[in-house]
Amino acid sequence: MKVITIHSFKGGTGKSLIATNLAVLYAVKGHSTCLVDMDFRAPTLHVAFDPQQVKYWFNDYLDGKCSEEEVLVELSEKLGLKAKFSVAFANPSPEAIREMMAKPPSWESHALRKLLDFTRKLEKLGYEYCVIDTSPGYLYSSINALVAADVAIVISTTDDSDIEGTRRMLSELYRLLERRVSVVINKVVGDLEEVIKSLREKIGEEVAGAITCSCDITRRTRRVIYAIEEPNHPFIKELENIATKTVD
Amino acid sequence: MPEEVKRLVEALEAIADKLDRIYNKLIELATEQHKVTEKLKGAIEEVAPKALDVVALLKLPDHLRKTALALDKLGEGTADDVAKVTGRKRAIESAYLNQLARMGYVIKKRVGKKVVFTVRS
Repeated sequence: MKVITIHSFKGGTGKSLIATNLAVLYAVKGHSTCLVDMDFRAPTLHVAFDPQQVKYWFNDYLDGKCSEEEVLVELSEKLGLKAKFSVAFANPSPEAIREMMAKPPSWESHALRKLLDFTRKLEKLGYEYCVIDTSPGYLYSSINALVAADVAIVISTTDDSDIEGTRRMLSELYRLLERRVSVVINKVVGDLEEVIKSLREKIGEEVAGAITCSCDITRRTRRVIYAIEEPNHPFIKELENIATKTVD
Repeated sequence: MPEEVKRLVEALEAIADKLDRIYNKLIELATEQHKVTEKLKGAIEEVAPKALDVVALLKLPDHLRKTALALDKLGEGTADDVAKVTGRKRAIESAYLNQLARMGYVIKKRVGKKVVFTVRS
């Protein structure tokens, strides 16, 4: 099983949209896939998938309140997918967000062990891909997700501060964790190849791909899962290309 | 000096000499005891359990971090299992895993003929 962590230096880069569609893409192609929301500060996956009943959140799993099977919400039938597709949602309530923000380092250490147990269990359950959406920056929970990852996809925009932050994060954090990293430049206006070439000079060879800024995506609701509803959308085509280059 | 007083002085000098020797012996023993206590204190500190969280992981030297990350992925394993993940030699991983165990991050246990390492939770 491959664990793919989606991370970024700044917020608003499109991590959750990319994580959602990348995970669904794998399931559309027939791979058993699990998507995990570890963006505990701003959970969003529940908006895209609109689960009717969530008995346990991923917060509860990390707290030791439920098993791996209990936290997974099976959505294959709802989405019309033949392959197994499950999501572990983060609790979006303000109380849960506040609680997660106040967790001490000792809890985060325990959460890392639980997350590693979780990925090992997914492998035993036959999942082929696990995509983890994270909070931006150097947050404890996001670094935990990077430790659990086989591949990390870092999303950046063309904004100068985002590029500089990404460059520093690669040299200060990712180098130490020795993870396979691919940087994806999102919301690009202009020629993709030119942007990739120019950012490879600034960030490094890790820049693996770019995605065009699509005004229709920003205008539409988050409930649209492009990998299912519009598989020929340029965003999905570019994402497919990146998935092949960076993960497979 | 009367004979009796002379004998008394000699007896007292003999007692003082013995007391001196006892005193020196006690000093020697106290020094030894101090050394043993310090040594034990060091040994206790060496195996004090510590959580291998991301901060500890990032602070480890590169060679130990690679071993710790591999063991993290496995959950538990032998030096051979870890060597298969890192691509380094088994003997090297064995040395690094033992070092992590001495630092308190890893638990070492014997299972039959195998030595199995687990990240402390």
